[in-house]
Amino acid sequence: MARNTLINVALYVCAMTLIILLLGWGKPSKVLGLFFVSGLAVGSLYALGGIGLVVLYRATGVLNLANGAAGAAGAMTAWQLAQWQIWPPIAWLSSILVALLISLFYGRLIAPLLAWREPVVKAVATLGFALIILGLVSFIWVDDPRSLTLPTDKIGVRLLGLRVTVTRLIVFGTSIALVIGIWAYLKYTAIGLQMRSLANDRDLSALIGIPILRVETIAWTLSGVIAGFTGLMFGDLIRLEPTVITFMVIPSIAAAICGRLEHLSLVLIGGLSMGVIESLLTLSPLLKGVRPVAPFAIAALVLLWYQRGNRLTFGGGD
Amino acid sequence: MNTHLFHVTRSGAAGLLFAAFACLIVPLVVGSFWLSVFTSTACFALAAAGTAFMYARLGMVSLTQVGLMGVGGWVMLRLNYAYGLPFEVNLILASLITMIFGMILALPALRLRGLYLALVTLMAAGGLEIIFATFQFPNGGGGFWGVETGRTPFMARPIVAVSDAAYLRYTVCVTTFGFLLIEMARRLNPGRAWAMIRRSEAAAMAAGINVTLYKTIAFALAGLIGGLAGGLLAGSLGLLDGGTFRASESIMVFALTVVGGARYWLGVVIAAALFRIVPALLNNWGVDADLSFVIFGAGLLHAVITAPNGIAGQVLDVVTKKAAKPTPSIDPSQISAPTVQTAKTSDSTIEIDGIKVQFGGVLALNNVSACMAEPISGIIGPNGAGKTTLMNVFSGFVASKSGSISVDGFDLGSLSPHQRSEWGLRRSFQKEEISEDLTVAENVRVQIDTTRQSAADKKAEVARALAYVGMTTKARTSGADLNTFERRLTDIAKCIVGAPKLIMLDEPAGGLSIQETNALGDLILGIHAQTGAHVLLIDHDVDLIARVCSQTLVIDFGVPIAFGPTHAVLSDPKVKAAYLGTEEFAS
Repeated sequence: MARNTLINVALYVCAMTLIILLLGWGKPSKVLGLFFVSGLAVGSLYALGGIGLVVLYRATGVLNLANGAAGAAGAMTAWQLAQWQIWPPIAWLSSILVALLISLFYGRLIAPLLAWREPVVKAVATLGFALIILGLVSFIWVDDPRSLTLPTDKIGVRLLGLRVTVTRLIVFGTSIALVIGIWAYLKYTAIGLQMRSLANDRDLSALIGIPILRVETIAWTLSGVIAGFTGLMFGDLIRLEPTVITFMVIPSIAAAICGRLEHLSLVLIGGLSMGVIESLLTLSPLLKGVRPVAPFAIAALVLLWYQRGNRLTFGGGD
Repeated sequence: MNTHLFHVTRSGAAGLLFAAFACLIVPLVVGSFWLSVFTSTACFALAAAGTAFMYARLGMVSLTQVGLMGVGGWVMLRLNYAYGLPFEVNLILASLITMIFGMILALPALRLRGLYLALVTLMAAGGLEIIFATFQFPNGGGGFWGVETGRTPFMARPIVAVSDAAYLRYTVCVTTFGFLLIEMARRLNPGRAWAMIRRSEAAAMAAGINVTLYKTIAFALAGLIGGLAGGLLAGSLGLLDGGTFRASESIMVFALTVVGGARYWLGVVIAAALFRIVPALLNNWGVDADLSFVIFGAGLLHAVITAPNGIAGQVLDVVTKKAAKPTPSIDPSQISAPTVQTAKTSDSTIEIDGIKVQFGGVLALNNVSACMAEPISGIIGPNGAGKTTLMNVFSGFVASKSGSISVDGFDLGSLSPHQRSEWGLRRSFQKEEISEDLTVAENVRVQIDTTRQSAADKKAEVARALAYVGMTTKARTSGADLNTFERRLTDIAKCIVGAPKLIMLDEPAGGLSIQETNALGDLILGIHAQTGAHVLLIDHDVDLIARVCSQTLVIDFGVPIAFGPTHAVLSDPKVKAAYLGTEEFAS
């Protein structure tokens, strides 16, 4: 086991160094740093999405494809409230609140109907929910170029000679803080212990009296909050368009795959690496165009690497 | 079975009628807008058929189908503008190239299943989406790599179908051909193999199915179909746009296939109609087409929660009022095994030599050795003793760290699981692994699909095996309609076809009544005389073991604690202690 971890770490460090050297060779360090930082910001968004997915998947067995849609609904609400000149903090909070309510609605009313089905079916059902939200959101806010700006966009900090906006710092900081916070929560609180137990074996946990409903509700809440925050930040940093934010869940899944839908720290590293590689690819004239493929290619490779030597024989678990 | 290859079911007849209607009547009565909508519906129906059979027949979720369609369309357009070959040549090339793409996609799929498989295909769809955006669709322009926008280019169409109406007919015909191709594959070897893979990959391998091969065939077929659909769509529109082939569209097509009902042609047609016709209708009525998402989503939730067979399943339930006339269940007392013969007919031996298996920190089998020469040998031991693990080593599912297993001096170690089956290894599983998608005869037939025999011989052999276990009357019954005893009997029939050398039965009497167990015991006793094969039997029913097995191996905590003639082993105090817990009870 330990040897395997060592191999993985060594391989990761080598691959990352190689990629950065290859792409950044001969470029001024300032340019490299600029792309690196912007990559970290995008990567943090992937990681945040991935963390939201994994927290929920571990506790409830649902890979929630509607996370992106919930985020989109939240971000659009925030934009609307901002248009109505409502005090900004309320607008921002509304994004989180809306996503949270959407997540809880599904978690409490629909998810229990599918509690005993296999993971693929659960994931497919959330897709239905995602479509409903996306349809409604696109119906309410017809296609129009919109943008969402936070006051933190205008404040910059100089770091190692580079100007970094505070929004990017917030996104990056939050993703790290979340990983540490959730890790501590799972490790030191009673609910955290129960969540780990559920993730380990749902049936057994039910038998020994873990309050499944309560633990699941907390997981849905947590993932809803993360989805709302991610949607808001995505709308600010990248694009405020319901369809785009909804299907941001696909690269988030890529980040989640890097952590085997299990390890939050790996999701974070995976997400950040994807963002950085994607951003650095801009430097290569050859691969510039296919840059957004990076998350998918990385996730597919990581998945294959994890599965190497595995043999599929027995039914049941995935 | 081959005789059923051209059998037209009632649902099939309805499908052909529907195709004829779409081909002959529809083009006469609709305007040019709807001609184009229906043509694209037919293309997407073809593509969705690829997703549907993967999901319904193999249980695999593939989320790349629309991406594959894009590959087909891309190749089609490029070929069209670059070389001016006839339409059909381009279409065939486009489908073949897409088929190769599908096979490349199968590479990761061989090691993945369930959610992970769905995710890796989703990653592929995401990748393709961006590749389309980079290496754009040509829409005219010179040479193979030319791209031109802003003019309506010339797209060659088949000579027989230049007008829009004729092209719709052409598309419907090709789509019907695609549906029939899938149905044909389903009725032949691939279909039987897929049904077993869907049931359990282990059972499929034990039945001699090369799982890698048949999964690759499935992906290749889905690719071919997708490429065909993409090529047809390109021919209809003359220009394509990357936005048509987004990953989200692939997900949508899969979702709608579930809504429609992936098992039925009607379900696939409903899926395509929802995908293409509903948005067009909403547009026509001046309603925001985004609302179609709401309809799709609600439909999907509804289907997933309440209608596992989709809308088509519900429709068919209403139309066909279950003509239920089940054949009577098999009565154990009616089974007359041929005169019981346990005399050895061959001198072959099974040698288990120093088998050692470790799972993490658990030593599941430690140095298990035995040399079995009797026709029927038993393996007993408390739960978790490692009996099934030993069988899994025989099957090649679990690797032994050391030691070897050989039969008549032939070492099984070098063979893959399905090769062991071809060699003559048969096994049944604790949980009877009968595919519910196949009939009893087909379930047995799977086992000898790879042998070199004429179809008639195979058929006769299946009939012989079914007669032996007394299941002749059930030959045409679907696996889903069998009771436990009948499933166990089918398992036995499966084990005795195709010149078996070693038959392993893992708790064959599990869940059976006393009469049923007795009948099963008779059958097991007759197997050696019938086939000349060794039989290895695991069971907890000591009476059955005592009656059937001449010698018995006892395992406890992965260690063999006794081996020898059954009656001697069963009266061994060590064995009693292992079974009953403490020495005190062992008097």
